[in-house]
Amino acid sequence: MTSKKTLAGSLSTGLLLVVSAIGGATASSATSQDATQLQVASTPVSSPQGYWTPERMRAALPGDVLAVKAVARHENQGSSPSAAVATGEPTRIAGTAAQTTVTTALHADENPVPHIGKVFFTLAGINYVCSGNSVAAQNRSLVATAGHCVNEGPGAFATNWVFVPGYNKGLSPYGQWPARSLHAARNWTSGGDIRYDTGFAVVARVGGKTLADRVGASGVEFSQPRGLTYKSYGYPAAAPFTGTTLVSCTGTAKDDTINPQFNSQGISCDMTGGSSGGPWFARGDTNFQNSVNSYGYGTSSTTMFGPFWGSTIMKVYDSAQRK
Amino acid sequence: MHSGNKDAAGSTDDAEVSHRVSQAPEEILAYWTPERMAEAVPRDIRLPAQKESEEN
Repeated sequence: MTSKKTLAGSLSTGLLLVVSAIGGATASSATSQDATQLQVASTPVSSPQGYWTPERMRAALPGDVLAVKAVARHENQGSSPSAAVATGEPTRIAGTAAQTTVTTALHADENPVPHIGKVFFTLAGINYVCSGNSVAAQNRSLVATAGHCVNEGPGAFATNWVFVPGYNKGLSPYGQWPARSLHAARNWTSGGDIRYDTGFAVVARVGGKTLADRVGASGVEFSQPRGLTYKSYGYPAAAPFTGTTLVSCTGTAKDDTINPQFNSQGISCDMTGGSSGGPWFARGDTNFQNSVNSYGYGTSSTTMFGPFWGSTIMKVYDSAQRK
Repeated sequence: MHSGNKDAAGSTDDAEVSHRVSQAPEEILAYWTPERMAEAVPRDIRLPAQKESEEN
């Protein structure tokens, strides 16, 4: 029996967390690029017959000279019946060249949405950025995001946690909302269990107003059917994105077949780091949120996975929304 | 600062952990200069791709 190791074991005590930095790749130097370009053009070209000497190649006439002569002949001899040119069945002959894969962007650019924004915080002395969404709450001051955007999972809670709704190109049109308290499932804070990668923040009033008063709030829903069509939002900041504008992905949710024990669902999406914690809305509207951007596989992931919001996350939400 | 059953924020459900932020809102707002926001690192979970997990 072939041993097929999954992530179940390695994730039992915590997650493999890969943090990617904006602009972290080291650019090639100008010198090395120049050297590469110089190596390309020096291979001599000749035909097997030896006809195409460098002199003949240089003396060859441009093809459009011949085309001009052909047009002149056509005009001198009069037009031939056009039917001879236009008739014939549509024909298609397959070539043997490798199929070219057309890469389609798995995201769409969005205008800012007032209740969706960026989250900034500090963990272990490092300043991080994620995404989040204002959600309906008794305290009218609640932000939903990923568990790994409020707590190390497992480990400490974040400091300097702030929500910037409607963020756009460096501007904070609805102000900045610092957290009063942070909330997550114990399975996340103690075990780093990715099934519970959701966090909530209760934010302070700003200018005497609550967050919901200022930007509104999405509803939330739990224990919904699997396989719904979702639209997720986020501010991807890792290359090729810049994190300055809102982006969305849309797709039908499918189970994580690599690690089904995670109970997560994934949609087609190429958003990168920084989009974590962005909201998932089912049924094509922004009225009810029931997941967040959580994780992907590999460095060029084309699927974004989100945790299934069931009874445990509902308990976390219910506790936070009353704070 | 935080606990599941009886923390300062009054959490009573063992499934949930609440953490009361000790910083003043003004302190947090003062911390986030435009430069710090621009330099903040995306926090991201990238699990090994499928081939990697099968080979290891």
